[in-house]
Amino acid sequence: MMFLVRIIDALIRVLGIRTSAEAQPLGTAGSRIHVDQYTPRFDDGPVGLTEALDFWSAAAAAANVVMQLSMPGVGHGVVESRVESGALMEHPWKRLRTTAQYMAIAVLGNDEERAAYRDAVNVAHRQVRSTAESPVQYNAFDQDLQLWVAACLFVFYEDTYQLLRGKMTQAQAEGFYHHAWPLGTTLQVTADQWPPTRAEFDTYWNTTCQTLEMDEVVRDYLMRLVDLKMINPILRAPLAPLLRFLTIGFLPPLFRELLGVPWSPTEQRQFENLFLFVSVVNRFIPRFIRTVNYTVLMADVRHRIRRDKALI
Amino acid sequence: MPGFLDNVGRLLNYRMPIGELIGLGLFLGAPYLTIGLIWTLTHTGSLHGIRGLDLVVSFLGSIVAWPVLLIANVCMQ
Repeated sequence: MMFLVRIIDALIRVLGIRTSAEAQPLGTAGSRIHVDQYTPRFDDGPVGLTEALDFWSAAAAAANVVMQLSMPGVGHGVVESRVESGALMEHPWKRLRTTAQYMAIAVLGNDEERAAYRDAVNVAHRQVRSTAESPVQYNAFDQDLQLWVAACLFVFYEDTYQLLRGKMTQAQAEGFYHHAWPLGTTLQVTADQWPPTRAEFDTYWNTTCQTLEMDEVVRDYLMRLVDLKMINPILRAPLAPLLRFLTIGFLPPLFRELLGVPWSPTEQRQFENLFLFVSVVNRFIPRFIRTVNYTVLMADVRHRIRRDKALI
Repeated sequence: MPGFLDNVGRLLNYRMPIGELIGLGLFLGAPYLTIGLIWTLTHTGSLHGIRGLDLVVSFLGSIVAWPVLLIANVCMQ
């Protein structure tokens, strides 16, 4: 699959669409991804979180998991988790469904659906507590840990949305940020815990980034995820190199360093060119096709609630 | 049936950017025209004895109008 990325990169370079020839961002210990050239933006009206729903954003999913697990409490909570039925390495497809479903419900669900999912997640989270052997103390109900995960989810939507639709104006970014609150409040994060403005979110994010650490245990776990060690080898062979490329591309420099993965200016250029290309194609894809994965997830969760089936 | 009417109303009220409409047109048009091309290439009988511009128009017309030609022989004079 990586050859597609190279073909698109060559195409964009031949067409001369980029104004700056080479990407510049390396070496800075940035806490957010840096993109030299975003696709142009054609509207300045308010942007809701629902507009950020798009199947291409799956490209950033693994990078987001890395960011979430970079907080030691979250990382060890996930790696040591005794909840076998939700283990990423044991049931990767189920874990993909439940995590994506949580995000779909947080954005699209009504209050009852959010409450139903919260109850289901709480049952699993109750078993996620550190033991005497754990290197760090954690508890899945810890609101600071949950706020970090919710903040990562917001970054997921902001980064993917801007790569696909262009950079938001400050007013748009502010409104978009406020729509994102249910990403955390669907679980135990409270409204007053969220940084009240987009600027204060940056402060929270940058301050928290300085406290992140990653040890060998979490790093090994994440590298197995990035290399797709948990799925069928036939699927893995074509997908793993692409996922690795996308994951490292969506990781801010600071997280690349934590994970210990290299990233070159050439790869950065390929990454940006890929999304310049995808963003153009994407403007022609009808919304109901781009959001079909969310439609299916919501239909499934409503079916499960109606039939009283297990949500997670 | 209010449920049915609701759905029709929602469909009629669905907003779509022009770009996505063009994309949807390409998305639906590509298979339609591919079938039309295959159908035309395998049903060349009607094109015998036609020349020049008439042949081009008949050929393209057949690609576009293949569903009609499936059930009836239409002559364009």
